[in-house]
This record gives sequence, structure tokens and C-alpha cells, in this order.
Amino acid sequence: MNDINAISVKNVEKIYGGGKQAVTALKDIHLEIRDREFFTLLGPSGCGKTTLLRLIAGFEQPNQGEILLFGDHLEGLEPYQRPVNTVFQSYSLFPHMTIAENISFGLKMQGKMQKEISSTVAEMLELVKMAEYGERMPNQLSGGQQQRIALARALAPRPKVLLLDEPLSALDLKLRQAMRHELKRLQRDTGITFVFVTHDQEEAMSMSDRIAVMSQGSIQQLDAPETIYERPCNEFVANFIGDVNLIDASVSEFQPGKLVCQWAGSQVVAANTATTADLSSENRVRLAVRPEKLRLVTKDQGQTNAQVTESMYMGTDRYITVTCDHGENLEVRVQNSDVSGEVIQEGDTVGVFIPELSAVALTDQQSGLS
Amino acid sequence: MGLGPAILTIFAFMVIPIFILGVFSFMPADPYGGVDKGFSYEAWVQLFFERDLDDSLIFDPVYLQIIFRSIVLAVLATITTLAVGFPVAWYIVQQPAKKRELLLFLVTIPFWTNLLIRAYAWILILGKNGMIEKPLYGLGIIDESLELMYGNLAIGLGLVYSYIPLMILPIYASLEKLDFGLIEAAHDLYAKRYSVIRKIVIPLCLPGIIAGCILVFVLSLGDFISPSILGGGKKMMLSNLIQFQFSSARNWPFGGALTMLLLIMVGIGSFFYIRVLGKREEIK
Amino acid sequence: MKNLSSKRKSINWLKIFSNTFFVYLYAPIAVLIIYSFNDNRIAQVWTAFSTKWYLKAFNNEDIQRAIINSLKVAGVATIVATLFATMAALVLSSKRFRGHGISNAIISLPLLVPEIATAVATLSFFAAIEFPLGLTSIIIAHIVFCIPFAFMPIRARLSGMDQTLQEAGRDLYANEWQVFWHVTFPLLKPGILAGAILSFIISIDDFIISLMVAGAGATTLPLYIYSMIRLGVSPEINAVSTVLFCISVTAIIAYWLVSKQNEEKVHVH
Ligand SMILES: Nc1ncnc2c1ncn2[C@@H]1O[C@H](COP(=O)(O)OP(=O)(O)OP(=O)(O)O)[C@@H](O)[C@H]1O
Ligand SMILES: [Mg+2]
Repeated sequence: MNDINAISVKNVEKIYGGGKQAVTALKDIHLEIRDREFFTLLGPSGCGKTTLLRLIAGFEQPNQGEILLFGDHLEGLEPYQRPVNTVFQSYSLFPHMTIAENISFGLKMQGKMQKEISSTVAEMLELVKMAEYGERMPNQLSGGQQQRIALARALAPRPKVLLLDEPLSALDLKLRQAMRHELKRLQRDTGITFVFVTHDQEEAMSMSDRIAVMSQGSIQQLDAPETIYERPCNEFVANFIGDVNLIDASVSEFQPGKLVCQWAGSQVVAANTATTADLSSENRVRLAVRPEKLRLVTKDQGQTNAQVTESMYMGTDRYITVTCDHGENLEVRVQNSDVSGEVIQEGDTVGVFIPELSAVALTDQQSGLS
Repeated sequence: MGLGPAILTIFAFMVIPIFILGVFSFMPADPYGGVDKGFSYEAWVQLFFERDLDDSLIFDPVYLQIIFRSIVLAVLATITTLAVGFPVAWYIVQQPAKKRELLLFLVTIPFWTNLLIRAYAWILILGKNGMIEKPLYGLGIIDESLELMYGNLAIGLGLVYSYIPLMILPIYASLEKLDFGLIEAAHDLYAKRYSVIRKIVIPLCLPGIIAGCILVFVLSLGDFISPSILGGGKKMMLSNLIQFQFSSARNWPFGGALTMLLLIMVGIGSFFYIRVLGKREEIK
Repeated sequence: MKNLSSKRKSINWLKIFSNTFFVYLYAPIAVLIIYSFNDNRIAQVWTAFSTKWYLKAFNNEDIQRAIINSLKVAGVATIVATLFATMAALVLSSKRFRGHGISNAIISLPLLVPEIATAVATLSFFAAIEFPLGLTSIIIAHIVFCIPFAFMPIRARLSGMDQTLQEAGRDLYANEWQVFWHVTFPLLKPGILAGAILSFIISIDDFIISLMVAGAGATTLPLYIYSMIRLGVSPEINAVSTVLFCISVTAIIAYWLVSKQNEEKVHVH
């Protein structure tokens, strides 16, 4: 393992255009991507993911800040001078070259010997399981096959970092799922750092070592998938990844890692990642609770009572909507593992129980904690 | 810069020459061809007047007549090509893809072949003892030549024949974009075929029709070959008059003035053409 | 259903009209070609099949010279115009800049100016700078009006090209020049070929401009045909015209095939 980060993005800002039409695509981005990491940039359309990749690849220049590759400054280097390769969203295979020629392109441009080139091409075709396709033209391949070739082409020159811009978005669902495993395997086998862009949270969760959730040009949270899901730091992240109930509570006690709150007249102990609490002005806090973490119990056994307003059978789960006595609506997910045949019906009155540490205090600025 | 050669070539050998020609139109003519030094608006006066022996100006419509004839012939050619071209474009667009491609190709071929040859071919048909007259003689229907050639009719026919592809192609292009669902919807609402065409098809492909009309009008107005081959040089159009000034008549300033006039008329046409195209882009 | 069957019975006037139109479009050309094989010296009287007018035309030294002149003019004009047009298209398609619109307008100017105006303006220009008329003056005039015709297909091809292909090239260690040579140019080649073919067709067919700026001894094939036509109808004209017609049609078919191939190759998916 290398101690130096594969990529360091420091204080980067990118503005497209000028004057009135200026668009700030990225602002004040800090990012460290570790060597051999499967790193994902996740965010809604237009949040600046592609822009960040293009800055790393060298197709765009930052207006401010710097980008380092294994400690080396990239400033002023053309895309062809950077040991970084890209897998394009539309694959962008050269339509006038055979598959083998496509894969060998980067090696040829690097001035590698013919012998080395042919052995690398064979190796790459083997790696993406397309060994017999070397002499075909790109338009003779299916979308999924083109995708593999695009990968092979970008991997062939053994880049230090591979950038992938929504590489799976053009594939159908089945293929997309299969390719997730494939990508993970390729990353493991080659030991190359992958920077992967997607707006599909499931894709991000299943493959990544770490995820940076982006919104409107800035990074909202950067953590391992579990942390992002279990401990979202703000409303945006909580909402963007999975379903969530947001409830407002008042803080009664601050403990390291914990926050004792009052909600609906009862006590809720929420997880808290902030180290200090600024309770002077407001002592209100917003909590996020995942629907599957909530429990429905018999009446009067939970923090509050609620009426079931909707109950939807979804196979492995049952999606239930309840309206609490104080008026708040909550989503609850109940696993379909009960064999007793007792089913929660619409109109039932139940108790709502939030177990200790299953709610998370959202600790970004708006919620009054830092 | 890569743009340089193309722009410079066109600028030096087209923009400047037109400018020079404009300057020539304000200079005295050199009887041996070309122009003399000095300033003169004689050429522009000549458009309307003739100088009498005592140097007084008499209104003389002979050149205006030629200009007028050019405009009338160009308008008639435009109307005829529209009347013929629209149904043909309408027919082509309704054919299955393969046949459509073939028919379109057949429409474009003549456009890319020599106008001179195409005009000449009509002599074989219209001329004395041509393909039309010969059978009529044989059947005894006529006993002297119909004199189909060397008149306005032959010129007009030549114009239509030369430029009809330029009417069909833009109309076809706009018909092709038409949503045939609309037509079916109209049929569904009990509209007759004729009223569907009038109320829906024509309004929707108006940009194509206008573009075709302007193209045919502008090209017919400046046409040289039809009048000189099929008109036999007797019935002149503007281009023949211009060409005549630069050859036998050796009156370059007057030729320059006529050319400026033609350019102004074409400029107005082109202006509308670009406007129509611009509108079409907007709609997209 | 009822509608369909009644349609089938009624006469399809539109179809008859259109077919008549195509007959009208091709009948004169067909007559021209058929009579070029007529043995009779009087062009309109058919006697027997013969190729003697072709032989006669090809043995005519003036016609030989005219054909060679035409090929020289079209060849040089095509090469220069295509080169200039390619360079211009590459610049105009890469980025928007000030003067973008005006550059496009200047390049399409020769399409808007009537040929007779171009002809006499060019003649006046050459007279003003005292440039001798001859093959060179024809070639210069042809380059001017060939540029927009060469430009159109090249430009179309470039704008249909996936810009990320160039980026992919740069990403894979090719510098600007290598990207042009290995990616852009090979993909642009069919467009360039199409542009060159159009230039060639336009140049070889040109008559009016050549008429005005040709000096003595610089007779091109259309000029020669024109001078023959003025002397009256003859089977020899038919033969020469047929040859010129075949050159154009061959070129236009080549153009069609190239541009069809274009469509298939640009889009990978
Ligand atoms: N070349 C450009 N010129 C001007 N604005 C641009 C340009 N490229 C991107 N932008 C703007 O920058 C912002 C970020 O764009 P970017 O392409 O990085 O988003 P993205 O996160 O990749 O979105 P998507 O998921 O849709 O691909 C957007 O508001 C976009 O409109
Ligand atoms: Mg993107």
C-alpha cells in the first residue's frame, strides 16, 4: 500500500463561461482518493460529477485550486501527458478501427514496442472475456460488449487512475447488474484506482470503497457506503440515499456520540457524530430515521401512538404509512418474516418505537450542531 | 489560421470583383471593351432613357421591357414548378422508404448534370422536325412548323425543366418532417382528402414551399442558358443582356449597372430565403 | 376498411401525374442519348445504330483539347477548393468565436450570387488588375464557387462526428496532431471525398463563368458544346453531350454511395 493519495483535489473551483452566463459547476472541492480505492462520485444530474472527472483527466482547467496525482502537480499537463485514462459514457470507440486497434491505440501513442502491444492487447481481451473479438469492428458489437472494450482500451496503457463516467448508464438493468461484479473484479485484479461517477445510489453502494455525495457543485459527505447510509450528515444525503423519515426534536442532553432528545412527549436517543453542540440559541434538532429502523409495537408501548393510513404488500416487505397522534406522517418498513398471519391493517392503532441510536442527528449547519 | 485561405479566396475573387463592377458602372465605357478613367452615371441613365441626337433624354423602355420579361418569366416558372413540384413531392413522401430514396435520387440527378445539355435536349424535342412535330407531320395534322422554339414558351419550359428539382427538394424536406398522425387525425375528423391537404399539409410545409419558390425565382431570374439556347438569343433575359454588354456591345459600365440591379433583386430574394430558413430553425 | 377498398378502385391520379413527371424529367435526356447512336447525319432522323459519332468526336482534336482543359480545370479547382474547404470546416466546427457567423456567410456567398454576376464581376476584376485570361483565370474562378460545395458535406460530416472521439484520443496519449491524423482525418475522409466529388461535378459542368473568363485557347468542354449548339443540331453534339452527362452521373452516383457509407459509419450504435 502506498501512503501517498492517488488523487488530491485541493480547493478546486470551476466556472464555465463568463459574464452573465457564468455557471459555477464546482466550488471549493477538497478530496483525497486513496491508492487502489474504488471511489465513487454520486449525485443528481448537473451537480458537477463529470466536470470533476474532466478536470482530473485534463479536458478542463480549474479556475482555482490544484489537483495532484500521486503527489505530482497536474497543472499545465495536457490530457495525453497524464497517466490517467477515461471510460466515456458513450464508450467513444473509434468506429474506423478494429477492436484490437482500439485497444492498442494508447499503447501505440505511448510508443510501445509492437511485441509488447500485441501481448497487452491479448491480455486485455482476455481480461474482459472478449478474446475472440479482436478483429471485429465496434459496430458489430452489442452495447455491453462495446462497454467491455471501452474498459479494455482504457486499462491497456496501465493508467495510474481509471476514470469512469456513468459507464453503465446505457446498459439495460440485467447487464448493468452483471457489469457491477465485473467492474469490481477488474478493479481488484488490476489494482488500479477507480474513480467512478454515477447518479444511481444502488450502483454506488454496491461497488464503492468510499463515496463522495455531491450536490450543486460541492461535496456533501465523503464516507464509506455504510456510514453514508447509517450516518448521513445532512438532509440532502439522507434523502438522496434510500428512504428516510425526518423528524424534529428538541435536545435535552448532549453526550459524546449520543444525543438525548424529546419527541412527541417521549425520549429518543439519537446517534450523533458532532463533537460539540451549539444549544445556546436553539435546541431543536432534526433527526433522520430509516423506515426499516422504526418499529410498530402494540398501542401505548412506543414513544407515541399512531394510526395506520396505508399498508402496501411488497413481497419481502410491507410498506406502511402511519399518522402519529400529533399529526406527523411516518414511513415504516416491516419485514415479511412473521408467520403467525397477523397483518397490520389500515385503520389499526399502533405504537411507534424508535430504538436507541436508530435515529441520526443531522449535524450540518442548518440543524444547529457542528 | 485554417479559415484564411477559403475566406481570402472568396473575398478577393468574389467580394472585391463585385465591388469593382459596381465602381465600373459609374465610369465611362471604353468602346474597345472595359472602362475609361473618370466618373459617369451614363450607364444608369441608359437603363431608362435614350439619348437623342441633340443630347436630350427620351424615355426608352426597351431595357425595362427585358427586365420586366425576366421577372414575369421567373414568376411564371416559379408558379409552374410549384404546381408540378408539390404533388410530386407529396407523392414521393408517401412511398415506402426504399422507393422514396430512389425517387429522390432521380430528382437530384438532373440537378447535378449540365444545364447546357439539358437545354439542348429540348431542341431535339421542340425544334423543327423534332420529336413533337415529326409525328404530327406524319399524321397530317400540321403542314408547317409550330415554331415551338425560340419564344417565351420555350424559355419558360427550359426554366421549369432546369430548376424544378430545387422546388421539389425543399418541399419534400418539410413534408418529410410532417407528422402523419395529424393527417390521420384529420381524416378521423371526417375531413376530405382535399381539405386535409389545404388545411393541414400546406400550412405546415409552408416554409419548404417558400424556400423552393425563392430558390427557383432567384435562379430563373439570373438564368442565362435557357434564353440563349431555347430563346435563340432573340428573346433576351437579364443575363443575356448583361453578357451582351460584356461581349459584342462592349459597354461594361451598362453591364455593371444591370448586374447591380440583378444583385439587388437576388439580394432581396435571398434575404427572405434566409428569414424563412431562420424561422424553420426556430420552429425546430 | 371500406375506405381502403374504395381507394384501390379509384384511379390514383397522383401516381399517374408523378410518373408522367419523371418521364418528362428523363425523356429529353433519353432522346439525346438514343440519337447519339443514330447513324444518320440529320440528327432527328433515325436510320441505324452506330457509334461513329463517338469515334468522330474523339478524333476531333478540338474536342480532345477541350476535354483535357476541362479535366485540368476541374482537377486543380477540386483539389484546391477541397483543401481550403476542409481547413475552414475544421476551424468553424471546433469552437464558436467572434466572426463565426460572418465567416459562414462569406463561404456560402458563391451559392447566392447568380452565376452571370460572378462571371462578369470576375471578368471586370481580371481586367482591372490586368490579369491575362486563360486556363489560370478559369481555375481561379472555379476554385471560388467550388469552395462552398466542397464545404457543405465536410462540415456536415464534422458536425455529425462524436466530439468525445477526439477526447478519447487525447486521453489515450495522442497529441493534437496525432489525434487529427489517427482519429479526425480518417473519420472525415468520406466527407472530404464527397466534397471533392461535388466540386468536380460543379466545375466540370460550369459554363457561364468559364465563358466570360476564358481566354483564347482555353476552351473547356461545355464551351465547346455551346459553340457547336450555336451552329445547329448535330449527332456529334449528342455524342459529346452524352459523354459529359455520363461523367456527371458517374460522379453523382459515387457521391451518393460515399454519403450513404457516411451515414452508416458515423454512428456506432
Ligand atoms: N461546457 C460547459 N459549458 C457551460 N456549462 C457547463 C458545461 N459543462 C457543464 N456545464 C454546467 O456545469 C454544471 C455541472 O455539469 P456536469 O456535466 O459536471 O454535471 P453532472 O453531475 O455530470 O451531471 P449528469 O449526471 O447529468 O451527467 C451543470 O450545471 C452544467 O450545466
Ligand atoms: Mg455527467
